[in-house]
Amino acid sequence: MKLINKKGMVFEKISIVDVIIILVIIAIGYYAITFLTTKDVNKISKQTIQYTFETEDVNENFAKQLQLEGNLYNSSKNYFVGKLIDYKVLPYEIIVPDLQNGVFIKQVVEDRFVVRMTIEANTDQDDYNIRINQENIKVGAMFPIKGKGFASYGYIVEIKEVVK
Amino acid sequence: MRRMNIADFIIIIFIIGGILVLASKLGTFGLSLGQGEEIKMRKAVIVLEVEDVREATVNALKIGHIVLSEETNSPIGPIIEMTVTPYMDEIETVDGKIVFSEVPGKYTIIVSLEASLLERETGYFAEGITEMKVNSIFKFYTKYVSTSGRIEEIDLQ
Repeated sequence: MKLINKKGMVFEKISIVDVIIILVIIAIGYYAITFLTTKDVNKISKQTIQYTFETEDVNENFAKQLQLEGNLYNSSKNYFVGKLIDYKVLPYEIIVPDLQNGVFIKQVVEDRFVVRMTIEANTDQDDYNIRINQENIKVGAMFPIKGKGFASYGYIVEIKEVVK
Repeated sequence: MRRMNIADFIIIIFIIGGILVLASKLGTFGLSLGQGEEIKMRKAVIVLEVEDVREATVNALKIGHIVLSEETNSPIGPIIEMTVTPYMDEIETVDGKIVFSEVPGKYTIIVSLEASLLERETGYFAEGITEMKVNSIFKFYTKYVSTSGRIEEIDLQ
């Protein structure tokens, strides 16, 4: 059996034109996959971090629900985001304009508080990202958090690497 | 040999057309051709103004950290300079004057990045991928922080 017979059929089964078309489609697919996938495969390392998560404008009962060593989760996606190892409760302040003097001033809002939670977690890190499960941990990142008995939105305000 | 019929020609033309469209959309048209076409990659300093941020963001942005685009997830370049000043906002006083005053606890950061820009007729593309235009809002991140700023200057070297 010849590779290509007089009728232009490869192994007498398929037209040479069809073979060319298939090879071109495979080449396009290979090009698309190699170009679009991450070229630099970043090395993933494991590292424990402590990060500070801040939630504001909460009432006094919020802090009463916090339990040290309690597990915390992203409340909309249910990812584990670490263990609570410490927290601080601070007065909630807002910035208001003093129209008389033309300056901005801070004013304390009575009976409302800012809670800063220090959370410890094991992370996967590469050159550009720190992740706990699928949660990207970055200062300025906002996500909803929950623990046993509480839930709130807040921002990450600090990240520290833990040397153990 | 089986003759190519009109359907085969149409299929081949579509496939070739698809390759060309894909290559040009991905911004590699000039690079992939590479014959007699000058590839204009230029070093540049991109200056961003990041306004109205807290001390947490100021502390998390550091010289040497690599900035990436949130839109394309591709690296732009390292931070080479940062200047931090208090964030100012306007107040209309009781007597109708507009004054600018410091906002306590808020800052403006001028961030300079080093980048390699592909210069095309339609604009400048960092690493050939992320379009950079003065006055546009640029959402970016580093390993430690996520924020956004306005592109104030593209200084070609």
